[in-house]
Amino acid sequence: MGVIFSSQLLASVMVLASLYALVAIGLNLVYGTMRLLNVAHGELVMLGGYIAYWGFARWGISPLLSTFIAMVAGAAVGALVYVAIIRHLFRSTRVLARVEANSLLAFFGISVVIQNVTALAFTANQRGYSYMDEVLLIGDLRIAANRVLALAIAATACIACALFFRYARSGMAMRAVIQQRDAAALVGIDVDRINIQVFALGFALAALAGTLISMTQQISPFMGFPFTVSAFVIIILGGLGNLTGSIFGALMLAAVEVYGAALISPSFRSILVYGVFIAVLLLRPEGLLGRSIAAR
Amino acid sequence: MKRRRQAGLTLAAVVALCAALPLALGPYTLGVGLNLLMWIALAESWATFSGLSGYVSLGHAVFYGVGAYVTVLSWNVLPLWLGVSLGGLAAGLLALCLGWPCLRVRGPYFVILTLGISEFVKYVVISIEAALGRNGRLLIGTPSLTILFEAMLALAVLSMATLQIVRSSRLGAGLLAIREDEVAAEAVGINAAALKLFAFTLSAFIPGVVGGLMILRSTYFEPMQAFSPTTSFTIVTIAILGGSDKVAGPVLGAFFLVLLSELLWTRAPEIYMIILGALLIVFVLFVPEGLFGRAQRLLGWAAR
Amino acid sequence: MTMLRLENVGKSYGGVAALRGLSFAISTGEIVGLMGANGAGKTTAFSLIAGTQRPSVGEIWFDGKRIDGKPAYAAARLGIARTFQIVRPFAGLSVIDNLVVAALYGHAPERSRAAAEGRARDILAEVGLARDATRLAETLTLAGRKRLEIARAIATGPRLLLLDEVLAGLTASEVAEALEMIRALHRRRNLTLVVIEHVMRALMHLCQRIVVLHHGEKIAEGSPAEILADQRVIDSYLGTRKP
Repeated sequence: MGVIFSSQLLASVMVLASLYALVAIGLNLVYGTMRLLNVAHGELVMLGGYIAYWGFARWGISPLLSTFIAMVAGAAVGALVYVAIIRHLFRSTRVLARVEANSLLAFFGISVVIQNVTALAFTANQRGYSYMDEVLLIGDLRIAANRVLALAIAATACIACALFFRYARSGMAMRAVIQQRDAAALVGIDVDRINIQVFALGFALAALAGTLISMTQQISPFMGFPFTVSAFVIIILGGLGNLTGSIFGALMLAAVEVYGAALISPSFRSILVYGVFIAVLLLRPEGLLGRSIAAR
Repeated sequence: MKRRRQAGLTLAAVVALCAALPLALGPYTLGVGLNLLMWIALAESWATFSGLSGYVSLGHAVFYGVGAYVTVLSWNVLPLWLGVSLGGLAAGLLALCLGWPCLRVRGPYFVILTLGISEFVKYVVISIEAALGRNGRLLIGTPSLTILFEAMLALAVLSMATLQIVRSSRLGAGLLAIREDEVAAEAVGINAAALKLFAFTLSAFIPGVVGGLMILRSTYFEPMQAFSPTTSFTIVTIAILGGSDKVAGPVLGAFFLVLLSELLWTRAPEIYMIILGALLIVFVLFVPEGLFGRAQRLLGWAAR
Repeated sequence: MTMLRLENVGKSYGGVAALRGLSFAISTGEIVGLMGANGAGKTTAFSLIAGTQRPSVGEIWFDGKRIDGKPAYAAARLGIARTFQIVRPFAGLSVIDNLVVAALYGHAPERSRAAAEGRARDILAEVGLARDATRLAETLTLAGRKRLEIARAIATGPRLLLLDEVLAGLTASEVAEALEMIRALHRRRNLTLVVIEHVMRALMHLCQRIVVLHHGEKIAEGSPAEILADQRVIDSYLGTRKP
């Protein structure tokens, strides 16, 4: 029983949840506005990590600064992916008819490309760097400073997102598109521009999460996919297109992962993550609150 | 009718020629040929379900891996060919069990579900192996390359025959209708759940046997490799490149892939993967009918 | 001979009742109309009969067998065919293949592809799509697609045909042609029809009997003349002519 209330595990859950939330919000944005499942999302996390690593190891750039660089890079990649690839999906009617499955294949191709470009540039070996890894003592909690930093930045970013969606014009426009695509266009929202912004923002958030993650653990070109899977679980748990639900879902998944690994065994973690993923897809693909999309 | 017989005879001649190849080719080239036949068998089997029904399976490696694992487990316990066949059966059984719940999930969710299942099974096998204290398994005394080649040739031919038979049968018509509009298909009397499950199970056997054969070839079983998502990715890319619902499509795609692989794999495997990924994107967007489908259109052949 | 019977059929989504206490019967060979404002529950009734949805309460009997809750393909195999309000052709298949599939799987399935194609060609000729047989279904105009929708339903060899607003979006002359086609199909193929329509003129001319729904409940049933004169129908749907 003492395990559950251990501050150590609780802190782990908070850190993991905040990072997961960032990744999930980005994925949910793309899904919510365009109903596309971006399986390459985890690759952006990986890219963010490599930007921070390269900046630090090669140029001595602080990972904190790299968060901004990564966000800009992520936004650029996002805009590029949308304009060069995704937009074309909506051109041909044949492809459009099965746009959800076709987009998924396209994203799959994108993820393979990104993974291997990175592997080409950096080799497939794991990389890491030490940054602020002194251990802090808060009460009886022992935690690395970089994890506290990651939590702080991620949480701030999540709050910033929440404010953005609530008060900023672009944010509200995004929410409008998520709720009712066609109506949004009718009231004068330039849906194409919103799409670009959504991709840019979504990918930027993933890249940001990646830089924070790189502070706390090693990175490799193929680390992205588990994050994609986790993000999917979260957005399904929290409700597809429901952005605040992502935070709720992130907490749930982080708790399951951390406590599961602690109570059973760490190597079980992958089985747990994929098991939850499968269960969630089989039981409730449209989210806990939405209507079921499985056959009758 | 005469055209049919001519085509049949040509096909038989080609197969006979291929069967005679081990006499003429050296071990390296024969190995390349084996790979080519492997990809053909895998992609044709994949197309039998995914190409016709439109339910894209991104996790077909799971059947390959299960076949490999069962073959390895039955090594020296059962006669070799029984073990390999058992691998195929195990894959089919897995498809039957998985298909029942999974095929109820539609569209892109099915696609990522298959990805998730493949990874899930992979990690389960890793755990089992770890629990058994095994760190990879080595097979000693496996059949010669020639035998494996002939067996793979048989599988490739069988997979092509299966696709052709299904395609032109009532089952195939039903699957194509499901691909177009599942609700409308149900409205004309198609039991979509039953058809999908049958085709899905059918598409798993040959990949299971292929997995068994390939593990005999490599003589080393390692779950990360056997269940590698790259296998699934390559199968899908071959089918998309070549064309995913006609028999000739995956053959074209496989030829192209093996050619590309021969040019690039040893020198720059990452570049090979990058090109593959880029091709997948381009073809999904601009040539969804694949090379064969595009060739058919350009040459004005009937689309059937 | 009663072919179809609904007894106290209801359908609720969450707390909203789309249909409530619906009961009526249809005899073999009849042409019955289903009328009412949008949201009255007409298409829901079709979905329940055709098996796309299952009723929350009540029973549906077809040919003496209970069919409520049976899936759509089972209803089709028993002899119930339907068209969809928003047409759902097999877009990537050719026009004739759309029918061949239906002929291979429906109520009276053909044994061979050749036989299915034969049936398909006959039906295409009846609906006027013979020239378009090898075209892809997605290349048809809306009017063509509506014909295809009906043709495909017929290709299953049904006994009961549910037509859901097949005249919507057609010009006046197209409507007249379609009505002729429907009447001819009804005669030649021994069909029983249930027709949802908003085009009043067509409904009155086509149907022998009409059932009127309003807010999920049946408010009137009778011959076209009786319906036109029914005050509740006038109040809820028809309205009165401006003087």
